[in-house]
Amino acid sequence: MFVNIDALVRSLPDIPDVLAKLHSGDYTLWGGVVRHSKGTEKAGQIVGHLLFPGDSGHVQESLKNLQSTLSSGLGSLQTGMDQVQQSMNVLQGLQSANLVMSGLNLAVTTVGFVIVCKKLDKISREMEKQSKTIAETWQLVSEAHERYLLADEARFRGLLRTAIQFCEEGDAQQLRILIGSFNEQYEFTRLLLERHSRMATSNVAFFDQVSLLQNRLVNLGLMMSHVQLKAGSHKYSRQSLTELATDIANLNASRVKALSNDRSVASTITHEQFAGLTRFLQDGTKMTPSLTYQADLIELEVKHPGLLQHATEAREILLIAA
Amino acid sequence: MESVVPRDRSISDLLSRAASADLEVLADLITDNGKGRIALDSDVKATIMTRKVQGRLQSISSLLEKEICAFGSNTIVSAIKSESIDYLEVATDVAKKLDGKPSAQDDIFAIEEIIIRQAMDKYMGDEALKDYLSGGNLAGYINEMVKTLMLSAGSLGGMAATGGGAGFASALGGRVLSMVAAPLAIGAAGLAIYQASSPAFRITIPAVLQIAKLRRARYDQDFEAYTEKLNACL
Repeated sequence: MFVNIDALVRSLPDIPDVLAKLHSGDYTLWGGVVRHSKGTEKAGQIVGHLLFPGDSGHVQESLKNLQSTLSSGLGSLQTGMDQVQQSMNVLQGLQSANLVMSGLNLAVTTVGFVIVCKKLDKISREMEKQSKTIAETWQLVSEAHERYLLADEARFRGLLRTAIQFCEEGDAQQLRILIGSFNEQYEFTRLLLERHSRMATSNVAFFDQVSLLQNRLVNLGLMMSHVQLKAGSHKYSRQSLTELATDIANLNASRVKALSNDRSVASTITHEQFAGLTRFLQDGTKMTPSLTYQADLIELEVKHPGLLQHATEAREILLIAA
Repeated sequence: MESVVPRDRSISDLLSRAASADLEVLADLITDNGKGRIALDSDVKATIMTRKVQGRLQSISSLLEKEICAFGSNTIVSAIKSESIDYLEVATDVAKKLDGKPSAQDDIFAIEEIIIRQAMDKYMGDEALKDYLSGGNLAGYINEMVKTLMLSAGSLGGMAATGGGAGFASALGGRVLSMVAAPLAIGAAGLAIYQASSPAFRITIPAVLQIAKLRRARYDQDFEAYTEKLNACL
């Protein structure tokens, strides 16, 4: 640590024999204060104070000291500057290294980007390939579904055409063979309708398909009853009609139950949809008395064979009582 | 196209066919039991009070809707300009205020359901909420909540009920908050601003709950009519 000793240099005060008396012990120096020594008459009293040097000699000497001090300080400053310069050089070196590192980073990033791009391209190609596969699969499934629908409709139409032909030809034996196919078609349609009737959403969202299927069920039921009658199975002919009436009533009940239990579906039904739905349900309900009437007529024919034929051919209105 | 059992009947439609007792609750909320509010026009107050006495609040259903929505407006500007916001927005604000999380896909029925559940949990407790979810008497619970909230409406005490710990500053809303130096130091002038233009949850929370009750009652009526028509087809 640098200490300026000039600040500590003092001159003796202008008092006679002060130095001699300090040596003799009459005076004692207390810091910067000259006092009478203990045991003397004026013990403790201040004689005088040491003074800062005031003459030119001392000033010149102090200036020299100051110059010397400054020189040594500047030397230190030069040393510091050298050190700073060295540090700057190191920093510059580091900056260069940093630039190199940045360049390397950029290169790595670019390479990484290229790799990622290549990977993305690969994934993209793979996805495109998968999309094509999915589209092809979807097309195949759609075609299969369409073929299934067409096959189903063909079976239904084919069955009706065959039945009509055998009915016209009066071939009871061949008609009996067709009964199994009729039953299968009827049951399939009924099961499909039952499945949808239990789901409130289906009754609204697939209303057109449900309506079409129910028409098919009714036509199958009526046709089956006719075939059974032509084949001489009067009991089963009547049974086909009563079962049809029961099935329609059950389907309606199931639909109403499902719709009445689902508030969320109720909130999606528009007034127009609801009008169509209620008409459809009412049509089913109105069908029951007609089917029952037909079933009763068949029963009458069973009990009184030839009565229906007679009634059909009669030119007068006949009152038939069961 | 309107559904047979609509979930989103307009407020005026709901109010026009509501019972007078239910509408009187809304009238009292809007007019602060006839005492009036800073944000309420005196002519409007007079009209509401007259119709209330006559038992014909149904005839001013649109006015009641407008006033409820006006209370839902949470800016001073909107209050000054007498602009009101859509009821769906009012209900959404209330749902958020009650810590509900309504989504953009939610219809008004769903948002009111969030409000009912949050309010039940907040004001009635877990047991009541469980009871409601298992088919408890919703109308009874809402009547009780609305009654409790109305007692605190129009007073600073209402803030505790509506805002809970958030209190005054929260009740003022973000857009007005910057005008308030210190919430508790608002004093008379601040209270006037608060009463005049804050998002008046102390009014909108019970009002939305009351409307939710009316909507559910009407929804039940519509659904009953729907099932009757279906059964008539058998």
